[in-house]
Amino acid sequence: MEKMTLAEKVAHFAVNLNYEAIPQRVVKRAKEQMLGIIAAIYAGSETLPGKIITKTVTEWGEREEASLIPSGLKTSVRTAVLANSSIAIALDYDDYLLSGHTGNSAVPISLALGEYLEKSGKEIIVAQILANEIAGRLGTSVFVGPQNGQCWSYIHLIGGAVAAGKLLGLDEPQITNAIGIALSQSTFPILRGFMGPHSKLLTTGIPAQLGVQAAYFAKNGFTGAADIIENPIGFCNMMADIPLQFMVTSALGEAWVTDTICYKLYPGCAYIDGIADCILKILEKDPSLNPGGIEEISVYTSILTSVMNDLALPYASLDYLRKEKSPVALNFSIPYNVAVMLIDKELTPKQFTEERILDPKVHELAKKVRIVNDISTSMDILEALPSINIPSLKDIIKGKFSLKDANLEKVKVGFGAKVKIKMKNGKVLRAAQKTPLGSPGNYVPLENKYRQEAIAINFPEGKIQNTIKLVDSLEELSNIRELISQFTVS
Amino acid sequence: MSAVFERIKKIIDILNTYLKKEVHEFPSFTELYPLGLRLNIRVKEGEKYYVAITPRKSFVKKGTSAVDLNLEAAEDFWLGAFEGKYSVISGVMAKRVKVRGLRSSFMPLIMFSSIISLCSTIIR
Repeated sequence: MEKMTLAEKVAHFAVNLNYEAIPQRVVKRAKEQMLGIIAAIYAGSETLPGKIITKTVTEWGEREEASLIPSGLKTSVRTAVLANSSIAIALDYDDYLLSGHTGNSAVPISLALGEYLEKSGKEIIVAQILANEIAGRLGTSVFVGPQNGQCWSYIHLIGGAVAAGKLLGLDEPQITNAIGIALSQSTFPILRGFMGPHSKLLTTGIPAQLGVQAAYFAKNGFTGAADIIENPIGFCNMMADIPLQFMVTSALGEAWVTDTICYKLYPGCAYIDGIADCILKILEKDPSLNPGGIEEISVYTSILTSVMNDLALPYASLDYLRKEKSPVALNFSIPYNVAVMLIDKELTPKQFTEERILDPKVHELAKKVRIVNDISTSMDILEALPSINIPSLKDIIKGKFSLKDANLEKVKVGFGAKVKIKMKNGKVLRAAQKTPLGSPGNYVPLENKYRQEAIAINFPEGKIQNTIKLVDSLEELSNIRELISQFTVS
Repeated sequence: MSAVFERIKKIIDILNTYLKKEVHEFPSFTELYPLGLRLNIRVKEGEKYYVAITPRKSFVKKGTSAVDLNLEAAEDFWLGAFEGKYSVISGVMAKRVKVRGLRSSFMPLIMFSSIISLCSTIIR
């Protein structure tokens, strides 16, 4: 095992992983992830870029193997993966874990290939968790580097390669090759294309599709470099400032990064969640809050939150939105999200429709939002690290760290926030949220998110209830097609 | 001493205070880059400064050094950024800051911008 390359070790793990080896708490997280991602796809399919993707891939008229969600139109597996994965991030309504946004490829890949190959519920769960575990670890290996968050798009290459390899029944050498093929074409998203225009959606779909294709190539004997991850001119050295390649196989089968999933209950960047929780708390205390009576809104956030806001700033203006007709940058804009929540009393996909994002009243109120770089909120993120026994960063860099020692099931995510609203009449309203709702340490069931978005696309209550039941007992399904028919219109 | 130099110096003093007290947030940033964050700050009107933020000691010197990251902006921009009115990264996005060496130093740039923002919060 010691002489194996990292890709070979991953392949060994992938081939040998079975449902029974996965702790039930991890299976539960994966089922919630499935509901959350399908809800995100429903919401994303109603956006302009989501509609354009569906129209475009439908025009390609490919072999009918897998379903586009939610239309149920059939296309090839790789195109279903491209479309469903891309649409899953249309409103940044997906999920994330240590380290990366894995759900938006792990779920669509497992479902598309599972549908085509008529796999069982257990096989889908295994493929989805496998994609999470390997993609998440690859993200951690390049944690210190030029990319971050959803821009770690190459994690979908390896997630796609291993999940597809597993479902296609590839052996260890074939999955090793699939990883080598996939990572040889590592994607490096350009931030400008991510911030603002529709092209952001392809950040997930393109690498997810390439990962699946790599598995198909490997199945037919195509080769890739077995040491693609750790070679001096390989993936980690090329993609990270400080390569942590040992993280890719850290405690596989002993620690589960799926334990760390943060589910998003609102459309928007993860850094928005704590702020949105605060606004809802304030509205709960004062439901008749009049936005016209607000003098100033102070949002105390971590420095990471304000960096994201700064990056989105030029593309969240009314002028830009009128021109580009894209809500993408607004998912990172603190002022827009705070303002639209205070006016609409909610933060759902309805706040990002083509009409809603152009309301001058929202943008006027947004001007009253003051962002304060808060030291204590910034520190909370670092304080979350000891909660999972992560030692100093120096020790991590030196390789003195294994995920086995990390107690991932006890992780608490600290992307919190504080909000203070000063009214013109002198009244002050305050709220704070240390651990956002939906994050580890503050979990809520994802059933409501699924129901909300299924209702929004006119799914009947009976179908919704049936779907939730089917996902809850996913391991009992002998053919995933039964569930796909519930996830789709037809 | 110019106003820009004075403002950078204030930030550096705060960093040195925090680093000496071993408050873990700043060492954590700099531990990621064992040589610390090193960059040249150029003021369009002519001044040039070399800034180093390291776990042991941070400092600012007149002139430049052979480092990857070079930032250039007008004096009024730098004054506002070091006062915490806006961030360095927002200046980059608004095309008020010219960046050389972004490809190899994007993460250090984000860290530098964040550290300045946090320190200016402390000053205020």
